[in-house]
Amino acid sequence: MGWNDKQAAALAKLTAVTRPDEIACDDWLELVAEYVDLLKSGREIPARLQPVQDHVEVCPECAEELAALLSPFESEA
Amino acid sequence: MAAYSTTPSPAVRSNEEWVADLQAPDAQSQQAVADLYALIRRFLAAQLLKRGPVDEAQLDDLTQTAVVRVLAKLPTFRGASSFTTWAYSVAVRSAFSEIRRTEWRNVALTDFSLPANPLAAAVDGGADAETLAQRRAVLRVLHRVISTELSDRQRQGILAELEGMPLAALEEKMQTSRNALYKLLHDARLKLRRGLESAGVNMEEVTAAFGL
Repeated sequence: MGWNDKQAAALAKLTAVTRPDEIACDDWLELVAEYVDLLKSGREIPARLQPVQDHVEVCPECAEELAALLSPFESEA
Repeated sequence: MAAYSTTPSPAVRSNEEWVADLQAPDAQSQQAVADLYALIRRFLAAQLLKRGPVDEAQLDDLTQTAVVRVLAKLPTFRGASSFTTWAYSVAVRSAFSEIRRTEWRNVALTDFSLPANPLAAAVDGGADAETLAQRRAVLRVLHRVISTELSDRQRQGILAELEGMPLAALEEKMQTSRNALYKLLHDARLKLRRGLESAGVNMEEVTAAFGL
């Protein structure tokens, strides 16, 4: 057995999107709330928060968490 | 889809009021924790419904754990965002990680191994001969790097990732922290990238070959 098409594409993508200056998941978690508030309010995202967006390109779990934080939620105050 | 019982909306507080109330003594703190619990429970209920069925008891357990995490991390809250967004970010990490670990509890890292032949997959998808040749060349290099240049733990982590194992489950099985695991895998991916570049393949060619 070899890699299936999905795995082959996933491996290629993991490699292609890798950057030397990525932030790790815990560092991402420290920044994401500010990023979400700025995004939701339509304000400009400063360059220092760009790694938040870059990270979700390589981390599906943080991407899922970001999607949850960005989804409409009735209890927001 | 399951329905969850509703709770009244907790009192609206400023960031400073949240922090002060959660750190206050006795009754004031208890009310703030109860309000935080209600907020997080409503948020998690909404998010978990999108993910799949979860019962009330599980929702309560996930909320309880998330509230404990938020309170433990409270001294790190810098006020750069609203308190509730910050609390939700901590809560969703806590709850989703617990669910991911549970979903992969019965899968062992030894279940994954490097395939002997990386090209056994068709990797065609209707691609032309030139694209197929490029894909095969990329996969040959990546297979060689994984086989000969990655450490055992890096290889184990990359193979688990390719099987879809989430980092929350992988960190538990590899007995490491999330950040340490991320660094391990990042170093592995950098080796893969350098391996391709050393073989004369640039990332634009990889992107084009796999239609990424």
